[in-house]
Amino acid sequence: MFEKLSYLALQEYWWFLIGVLGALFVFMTFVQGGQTLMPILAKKEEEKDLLVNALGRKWELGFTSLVMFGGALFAAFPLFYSVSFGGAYFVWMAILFCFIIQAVAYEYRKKPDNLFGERTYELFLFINGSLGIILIGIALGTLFTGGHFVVNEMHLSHWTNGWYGLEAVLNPFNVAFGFMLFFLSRLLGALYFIHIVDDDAIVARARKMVKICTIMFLLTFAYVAGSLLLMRGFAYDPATHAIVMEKGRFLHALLDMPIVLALLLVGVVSLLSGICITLWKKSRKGIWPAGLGVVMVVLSLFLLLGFDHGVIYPSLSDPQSSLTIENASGSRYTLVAMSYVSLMVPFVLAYIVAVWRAMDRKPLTVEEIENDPHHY
Amino acid sequence: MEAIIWYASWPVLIYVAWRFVWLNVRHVQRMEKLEMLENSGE
Repeated sequence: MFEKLSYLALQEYWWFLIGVLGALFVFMTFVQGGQTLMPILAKKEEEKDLLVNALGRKWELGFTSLVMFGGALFAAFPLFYSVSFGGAYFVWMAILFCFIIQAVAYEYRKKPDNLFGERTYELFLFINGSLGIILIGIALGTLFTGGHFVVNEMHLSHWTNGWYGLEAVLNPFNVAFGFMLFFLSRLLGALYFIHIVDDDAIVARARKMVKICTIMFLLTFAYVAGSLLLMRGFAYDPATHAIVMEKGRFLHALLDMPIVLALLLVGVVSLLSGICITLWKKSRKGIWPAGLGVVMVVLSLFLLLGFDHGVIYPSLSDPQSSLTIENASGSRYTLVAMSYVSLMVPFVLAYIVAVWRAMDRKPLTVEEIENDPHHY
Repeated sequence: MEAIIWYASWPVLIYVAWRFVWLNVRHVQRMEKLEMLENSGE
């Protein structure tokens, strides 16, 4: 079945799957957003326990989707993986440490004879939700703006400055991308609390936060979307594979791919509808249209990067070293073999949906957490 | 023709996956209920 697909079709299929994983991860960042909201939403100790447990039941899913996103990149686009993770080393290590402390915090916060105290682990959760997400946003921003690397004909790459990726924070687009993701994660976190927590005081505070986070998110989103449509972007000539710079590249790519444009617009409308029904109809289900909208928008951004002869990681040091889905992918054999494995993806997703529904059957209350000996 | 098979196979695969998991979860629930009944009879 997969053997009959062309090499380019396999590369596009795998870029699509990576886009789906990346989009699911961005949706799951509601856990990180919720972690940064805890000091604002919880006024009492039992309220804090309630919020930690509401997030604690989901944090592994976000972590798993991040690992799967990295793993799929490693397997399907190994050159991209080696250039980005090996080159922008300091940024990725900082992100890694921000996520290690998240895992530690959930597991050790309530352990008896806790050496550091609960406050330390709550600070870890805040760092993970703020710095971790902003850095991931900055790293994703460099997929549009580029990095300082060169790749030789033996596929060996090196970074051309001593900052190893940290210089990305000097680009306003990357920083705006990071903050956009941060405010989006907080917005989703507030919507999630409204959905899952059965406590009127917390829900009322979360609704206020939805308003504030929406304003902050829309401001950064408008800047990022405007810059994206007007900025110079990289593309390649399908015949010669030469990299060319093009003004308004992403606008042209969107117009070339009406399905991606429709996905983006429907995603934005779905996200806004989730916010509107939460604020004006007092619905508790706003997380679902908003989450679906986020998945659609992020997926459309990945497709915008990789399809239509786009460059998935531009090189600012040597444009001809830029990476595309054609020059950075694994071999045809690897992609065919992995494509058969990918047929299991719907089974895994179906189990996640089943587990999620079992966990969310009824909203969480303070009494339930106090009576649960295994709570976080 | 190949393209039709490719695009048509995904909804089928998603349905089969969902059905498989649903049957599996129902089976686990029945086993749990059976275990509960056995324990209450002891």
